[in-house]
Amino acid sequence: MTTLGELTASIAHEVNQPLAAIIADASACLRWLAAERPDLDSIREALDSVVKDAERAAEVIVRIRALLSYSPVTREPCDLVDIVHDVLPLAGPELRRRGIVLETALAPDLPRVIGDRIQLQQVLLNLLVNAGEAMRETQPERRRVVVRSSAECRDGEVWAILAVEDAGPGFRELDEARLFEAFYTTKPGGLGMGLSISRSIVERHGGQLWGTSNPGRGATFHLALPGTR
Amino acid sequence: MNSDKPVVFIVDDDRDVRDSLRRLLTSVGLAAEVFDTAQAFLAARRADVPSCLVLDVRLPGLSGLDL
Repeated sequence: MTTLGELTASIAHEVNQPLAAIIADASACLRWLAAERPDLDSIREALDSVVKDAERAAEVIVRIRALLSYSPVTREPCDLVDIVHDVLPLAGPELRRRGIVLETALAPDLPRVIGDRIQLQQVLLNLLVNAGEAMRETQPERRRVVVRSSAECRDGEVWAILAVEDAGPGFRELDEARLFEAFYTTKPGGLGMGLSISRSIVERHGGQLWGTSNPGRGATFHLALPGTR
Repeated sequence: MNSDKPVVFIVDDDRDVRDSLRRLLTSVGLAAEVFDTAQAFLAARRADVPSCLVLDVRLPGLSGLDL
């Protein structure tokens, strides 16, 4: 899947950065140690950094393993804001590399939802990767993704809603109804699976996933799940 | 730079990468200066020309290629 391919590149970068830093610092330490009077302060600073970078790389791996694990589907109370915090460290670096400003507006009082945390993370990740992709032709200064959360009352029940807003071309000219069709894609090289899989995950959770055009520019995807008391 | 040491300028938005590069260059006796964005590098432009520029291509805002 394209999303997975993109993620793989992003993950490789996220692990390679700290590894490159570790190699540079370790090489610096070896050089300092070879001196007649080793510069211990510099060596200590570099080694502190080696530890920190190794932890950073390990943390990326831990997150990936959690995200890609094929553990059985679970149904447990989840907080959508926690899910945002799980996913942003993964998607954020890739968005920033695309020159995209990432903003959040997270309501603190969202109802919890019942579901599979990993699957919900995958849905949000897919929406963020799509938002980034949608802005590949957008002028650099307009590239912006906003993740919002809110609570909404529907027929006496409280729902938790996440929205991912981009500043891409939107889908005014597209057949909106086709967005969630499997194999329908607007991305070069895309398979058109991301949104259809995401929608099926959300519907299995008793929720809804839909897209709207923004008044100005861009599109917003909304993920709504029934809250639990 | 008031010494004759070659100066390497590093422009990278990843702090860990840029600091480790700075330490590596320092360990081999070079002077290094670091910048987190292309804009910061341009804003600090001075009379002396760097001997070498280590530039990240994918930077937020102005990209390495734009620079």
